[in-house]
Amino acid sequence: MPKLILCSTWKRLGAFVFDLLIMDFLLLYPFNNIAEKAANAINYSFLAYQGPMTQLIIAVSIIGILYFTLFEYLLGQTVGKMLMRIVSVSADDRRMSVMQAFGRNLFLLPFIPFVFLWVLDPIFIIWKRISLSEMLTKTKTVEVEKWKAR
Amino acid sequence: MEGKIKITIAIIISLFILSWLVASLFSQGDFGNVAHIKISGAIMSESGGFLNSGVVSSSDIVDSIKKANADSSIKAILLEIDSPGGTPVASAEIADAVKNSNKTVVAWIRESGTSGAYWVASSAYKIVAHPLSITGSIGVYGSYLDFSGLLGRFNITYERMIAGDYKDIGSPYKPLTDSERKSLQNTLDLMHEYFIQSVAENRNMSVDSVRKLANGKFYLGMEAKNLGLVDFLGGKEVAEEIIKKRENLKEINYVEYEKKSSIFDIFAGMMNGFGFSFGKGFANGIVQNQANIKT
Repeated sequence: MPKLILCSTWKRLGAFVFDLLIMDFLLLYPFNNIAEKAANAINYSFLAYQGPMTQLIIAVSIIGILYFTLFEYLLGQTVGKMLMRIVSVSADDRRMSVMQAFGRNLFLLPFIPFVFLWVLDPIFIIWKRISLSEMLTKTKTVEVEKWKAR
Repeated sequence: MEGKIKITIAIIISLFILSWLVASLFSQGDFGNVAHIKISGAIMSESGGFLNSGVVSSSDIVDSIKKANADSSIKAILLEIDSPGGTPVASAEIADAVKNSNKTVVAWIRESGTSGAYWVASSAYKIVAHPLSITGSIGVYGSYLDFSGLLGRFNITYERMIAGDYKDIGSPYKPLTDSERKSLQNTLDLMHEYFIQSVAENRNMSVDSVRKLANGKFYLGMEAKNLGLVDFLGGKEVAEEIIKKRENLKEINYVEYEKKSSIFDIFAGMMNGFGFSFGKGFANGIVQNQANIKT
């Protein structure tokens, strides 16, 4: 049985950029006008979300989490990961559970303590080729060829 | 593989529908009911970039007014004015946009709202000005420096080569001829008359009464109130009371309408600013063919 190889940092980055593009241009398109209005509201500041801006950010984050969770739970791959030929699996090399898929994507919430993962996850990926979110949820992202060969 | 594609399409379509539903819920939310638009600095057609901070672009202001007009949750526009005026066309563009707005527009003059800026204010529903603010100055000028005497002292002559008698009118390297002076003055008078007519129409005043005040003199807010050039003396609170009364609002939540600079605008502005300063110094030394006309 071939050993699964952790994917490269560049493939991860490429997949994430593709996913962000899909989310920005497709899934979040209906929010365009509202986001502009909310951003214009005078009671908004970057570090202290207030009023409708908070609700908007939570809604957008939840849609983002749903995108990543559904794809990773059902297919093991988001669209970006399909294009970069990488797949996310459980640490024991099996398909991940829905809770694992949900937990590893909580970093998308722009609130403390999840925002710390914005810094820690990339550091762990560069250092260990596995993100802190993945370590905490006992998952990993591997090359698709080795996954298929099993 | 086919199953994978089906699942992918199903997830994307489901999430898009969910986004659309959530977005439509948010669109009914309260993001503010009064647009706050600032006119700060000299009014020009274009702002000229990031470094030109003392300039406000009529295009940006008109865009903001149009956005506010299109937003059903916006009930009124508070126009905060702190400007000495600007070019006639840019001022008229904003004044027209204010006049044609489908919202209640209240102009609030802070430090100054003179000349073209007063033109803009006059097209609002009501004008509020601080008693010590400077306003009025209904007039047009097109002055420039005549360097011909200075050049003569250094034995530098202006070689006049033109096709069309008035082509180099306003050139700083030669004195104005009588007919040129008459032509320029005629242009300024036409602009002045247009300005007077617009203010009279906007303020529901007779043309003659505005003409009497339109000698280019500026007035303090308190003088302007007595002359009928402004409606109320005071600050933002007074403007807010007018909006609340007119629109039956209990509370005012502002939405800032201003052009947001992207990182590319900032870089472009820095490049423009450098190019502008360099070019200005260079060009000023060589040629200045047109009189600089401002309201």
